[in-house]
Amino acid sequence: MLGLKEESGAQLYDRFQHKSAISMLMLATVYLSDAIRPLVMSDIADVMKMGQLVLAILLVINLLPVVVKLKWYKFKRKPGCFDPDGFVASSFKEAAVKGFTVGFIASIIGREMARNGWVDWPAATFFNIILALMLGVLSISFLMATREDADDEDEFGDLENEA
Amino acid sequence: MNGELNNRIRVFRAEHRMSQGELADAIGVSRKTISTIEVGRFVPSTVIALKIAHFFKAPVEEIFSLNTGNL
Repeated sequence: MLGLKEESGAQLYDRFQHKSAISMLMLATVYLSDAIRPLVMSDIADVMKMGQLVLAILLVINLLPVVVKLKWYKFKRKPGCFDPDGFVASSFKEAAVKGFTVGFIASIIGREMARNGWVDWPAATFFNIILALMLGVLSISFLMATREDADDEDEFGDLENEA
Repeated sequence: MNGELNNRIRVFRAEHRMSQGELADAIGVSRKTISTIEVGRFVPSTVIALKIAHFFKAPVEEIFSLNTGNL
C-alpha cells in the first residue's frame, strides 16, 4: 500500500463529516443561484447554469470517494467503530439546529412576503432561498465549529514531564 | 479548559506514550473528539468518559474531575 498507514474508522468518519459539510455548502450555492437565475439577464443566467453544473460535478467528486470508502469500511469491519456521540457528531447536530432555526424564520418571513404581495416571486424561488439558507448556515457553522486550531495537537513525546 | 470539567487525559496519554489518534482508535472515537476533550472545548458523554477510564484501567474520577471552584 505504498507504505501508507491505513486510515482508521474514526479518522475516516471525521473526513466524511467534513466533506459532507463542504458538499452542503456547494449545494447551498446551487440552490441560491437557482433562486437568483430567473431575476438576471439570460446571458448571466446561462453562465450561472454552467456554474451549477460544475458545482454539481465537484460535489459528487468531493463526496463519492469517501462515501464508498466508508461503506466499504462498514462492510469489512464490525459496526460501532464510528463516533455517534463525539465532538464532530455533536457539532453537526448543533449546526443542524441552527440551520433549521434559520430556515424556519426564513419560511415565516417568506410566507408574510407572499401573503402581503410584497414580492411576486414563484414558489420555487422561495423554496430555493430557504434551502440555500438552511444548508448554508448548517455547513458554515459546522465548518467553523470543527476547524483546526492551535490546541489540536497529536504529540505525546513532550508530555512525559507532565506525567 | 472547560469551566466545569477538568481532565488528565494528556497525562495518562503521556504515561502510556500514546498519541491522540491512537487513543481515539482504541476507544472508537475520532481524534478530534479526544483533542477537544483534552483542551476542554467538548464535554464528553458518559459512555466516552467510561471508555477512556476503562482503557487506562483507572477510575473515571481519576481522569475527570469537577472544577469545585465553580460550585
